[in-house]
Amino acid sequence: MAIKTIRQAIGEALRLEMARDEHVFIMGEDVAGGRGGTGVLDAAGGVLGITKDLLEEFGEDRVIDTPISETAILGCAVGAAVSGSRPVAELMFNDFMGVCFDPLLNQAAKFRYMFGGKAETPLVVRTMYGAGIRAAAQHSQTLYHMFTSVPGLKCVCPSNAYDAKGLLIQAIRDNDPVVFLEHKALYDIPGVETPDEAYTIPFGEANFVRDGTDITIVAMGLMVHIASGVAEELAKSGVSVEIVDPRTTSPLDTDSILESVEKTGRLVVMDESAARCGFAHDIAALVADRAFGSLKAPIKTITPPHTPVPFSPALEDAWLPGPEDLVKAITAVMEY
Amino acid sequence: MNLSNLPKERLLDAYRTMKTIREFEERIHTENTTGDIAGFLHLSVGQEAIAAGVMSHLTTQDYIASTHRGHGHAIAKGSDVKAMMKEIFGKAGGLCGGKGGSMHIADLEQGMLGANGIVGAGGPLAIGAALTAKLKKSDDVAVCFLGDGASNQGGVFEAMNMSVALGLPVVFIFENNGYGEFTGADFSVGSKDIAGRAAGFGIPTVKVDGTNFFTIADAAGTAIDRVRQGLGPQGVEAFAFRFYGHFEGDPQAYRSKDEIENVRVDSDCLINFRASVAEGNRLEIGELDAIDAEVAILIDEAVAEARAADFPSPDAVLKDVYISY
Amino acid sequence: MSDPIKTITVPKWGLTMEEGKVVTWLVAEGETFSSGDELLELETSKIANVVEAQAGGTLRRIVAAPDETLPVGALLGVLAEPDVSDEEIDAFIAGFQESFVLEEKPEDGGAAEPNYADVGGFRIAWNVSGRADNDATPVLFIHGFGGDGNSWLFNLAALSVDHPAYVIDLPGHGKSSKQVDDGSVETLAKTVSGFLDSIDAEKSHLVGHSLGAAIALEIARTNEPRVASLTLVAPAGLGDTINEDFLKGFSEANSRREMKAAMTCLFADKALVTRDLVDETLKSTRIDGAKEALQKIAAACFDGGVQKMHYDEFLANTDLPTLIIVGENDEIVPVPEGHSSHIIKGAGHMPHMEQASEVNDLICTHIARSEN
Repeated sequence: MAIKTIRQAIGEALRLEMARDEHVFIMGEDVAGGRGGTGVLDAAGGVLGITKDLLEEFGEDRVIDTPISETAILGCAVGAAVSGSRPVAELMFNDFMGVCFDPLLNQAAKFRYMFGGKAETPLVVRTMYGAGIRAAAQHSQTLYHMFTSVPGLKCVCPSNAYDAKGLLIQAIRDNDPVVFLEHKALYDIPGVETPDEAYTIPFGEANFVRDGTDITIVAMGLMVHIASGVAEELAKSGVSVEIVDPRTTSPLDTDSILESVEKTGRLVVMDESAARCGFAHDIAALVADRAFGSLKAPIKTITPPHTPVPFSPALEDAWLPGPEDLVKAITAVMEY
Repeated sequence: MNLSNLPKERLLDAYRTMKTIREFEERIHTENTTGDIAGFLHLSVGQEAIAAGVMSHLTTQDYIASTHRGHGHAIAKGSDVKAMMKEIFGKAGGLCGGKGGSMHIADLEQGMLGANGIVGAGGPLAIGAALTAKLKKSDDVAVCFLGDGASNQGGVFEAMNMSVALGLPVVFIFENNGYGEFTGADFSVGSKDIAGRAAGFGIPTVKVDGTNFFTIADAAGTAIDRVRQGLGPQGVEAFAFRFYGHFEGDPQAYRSKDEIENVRVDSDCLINFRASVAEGNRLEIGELDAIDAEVAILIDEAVAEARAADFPSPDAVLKDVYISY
Repeated sequence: MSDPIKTITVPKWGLTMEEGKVVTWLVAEGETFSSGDELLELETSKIANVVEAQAGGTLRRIVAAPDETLPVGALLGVLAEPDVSDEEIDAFIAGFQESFVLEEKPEDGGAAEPNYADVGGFRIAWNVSGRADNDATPVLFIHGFGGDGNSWLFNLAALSVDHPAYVIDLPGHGKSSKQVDDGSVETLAKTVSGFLDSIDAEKSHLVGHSLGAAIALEIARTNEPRVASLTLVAPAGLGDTINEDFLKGFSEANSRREMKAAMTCLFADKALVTRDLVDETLKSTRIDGAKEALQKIAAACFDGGVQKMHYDEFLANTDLPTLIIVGENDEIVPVPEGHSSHIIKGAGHMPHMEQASEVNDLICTHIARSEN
């Protein structure tokens, strides 16, 4: 047991599962890197170096560099999964889903249903998402709400290293297709205690990041960390904030969210996904539908504005929901 | 590959396969007029020899990815005809429990990765099945069926390129029936040369008559053998004609009446097959007639059983979305 | 009472505790209390417990308010006689806070790593509390089914005053390796004996809980001379039945909900089974091999709801000083018949956690008496 970052936790999960099960392989753009060049192989290990050294350990059959060809990457992974392999495909940024949604949307997600329960498609798509690193409009989006709305897909968005490792191992062992989203601003934040061994965290179980009694904040990914900072501050002025991190949006732990709101009577959803038809609205609707009687104040949602993600640091900082937005929302709900 | 000495049993099998597809499709064409079949139907009448010829070289360990015009591929790959008919009628005992229908008939036990409602989607899927075969270090192959329409899809280009880059055991079979939906391939395939385009990706691809079982089986056999030997992706562009429209109900205004009538006379793979085997005295015509009779009974039974079968119970709506959730 | 002003600080319960959160004060400022009185409730990441007064006096100042989270050793409150002035107390607090330093953490900032011993192919995690130069007979704590060394978190401090106090994680548990061979009590006892060999403990006081008590009995049965005394807390091996739903529920639990249901059987005060406690437990059982190990042990030691191990006869015929402690509301094992037991009120199967100070007193007295 040691303190690990999300970057380390994800690399460790991949290594452990590849060692455990020979059917597991990784594929994607530059997962090793260096093919066809004049330099060395394993030159990259993924754009962030997470898959570095796996080539040496598992060989080129199981650490598969591909052309920049996202439709073929995902489609090939889906075909491999439904024929008995357990691929972990890397889609460098979730924004690239624009060119390759079909293998997930129309193939992997629907096989089991369309084929009358006979197909198994044990596929994991790892992909980076999220704003905050000045990557501009085509490399900063948060699209988990899109994957969540597709029946047949599971959708995982860990916010810390312990969860990242346990959920990724679960994703690899899971027999359904899973989209595993990694927030790019969280890879190297201070780590948490994470066992060296393999372990799993079941999907559909929220993490209570913080227990509180006055108000429930539902948040995922980067937003969890912003909410934690705000909750810490507000505790000093006597506001007891409970933070629920669903960890997986599909399946969703509706029970824990409802249980928390029934206790606190107040809800703010802080979400990076979308200003319209996003994850925040899904949670708000859930609570309005099933826990209206517990509410002491209207539900508040905090999302980015309905615009693309801007590049300039000044603009991106204004775009991304931050602590001030949350404090304002909590204050409004508490004073209602 | 020389098929002139094909054993009699295999010749009879090939004929039975083609005839079964023909009767299956023709009967659906008729049954559909009763209004008892829901949804879209894309029939492969006229293209039977391609399915039979390619599949005569495959085992159940080999995978195929099919198209929206997939009934023939499934039958040739060994799927149960009666279960297929039930599926098309949307019945509980259907091959996919009535959840897929004509456009999504799949039979993974037979290595059939599914008909596909998305034109060209089979390309990337097939190279995935080929990747599994490669990782298993088996000599299994994946065969990808694509139409002339799919040959223009970006995903197919990507699949072809990646199959060469990764050295995957896959065969691309382009069934060029001259039309993508209601538009001629002469217009939509810019180079008018699908095989040449595949070759440009580094995939040796031959052009053959897809209405003659012997020529398509010969070409497919050679391609599949080369893949099994580890020589990398191969291709076949097989020319054939669809006897019906893009979908059942298509008035085919884009085709001349002459064309529609002539293809039935000049390009019928069953007629061609009978002529070939009679010429060399390789089969008795009576043996083929006997198969015709057996197939007619099979299809009669399939339709009767499909009509008599129950629809799925409404609670099936919620089943089999996930394995666990 | 040499110092006029005394501190109440965040205790270190167990080996991994880093901080505690004040739940509520049970004494008001200005109130007078005696040594052993309950002062406040403090919550760790695992479980809440009461902080008892180490000395009598008057609570002059509450420094840490409810909901505040403080590191181990931090100041919670100050007690002094009424004649000490407020200014003196202010100055004392200021001085304390200035000189307070956090306990040193390992370099990577993680929790303290246990020691590991290789015992017959098992990798056994262990720790010791108390002074290293103490040559008194060691005390060895053996946890029960599904627990780990940390389940003794409220007992180590009291027991390590006079003895080196060792805790281990049994095979298949905690940080020990997950293989358990046949999972039988004999195998587990052999492993624990092997651990005692590895620390050169010729004789030790064995404190076992539940399955750990059966293991202590097995060690005593097979090698009586190496046992100085037996303390059997909610013991297995001295009754016919065991709560099958618990064994099954705990060893198969996948979700927090399932684990909470199983763990609720363990305590008399169901409120102690907090989400944090359940989450901490799941962190162990979700490690590869942990559930399988538990299921193997359960199958080897129990036949459904029936215990396979019986030490009544051995216990009736041994001269070893033996203390049996049982919670009044134990839902897991029955009160042993034919042996005298201390029944602890307000406790279920975990009296050493639920009524720690009463249990600590009993064990300390028992061990002291056995040494005279």
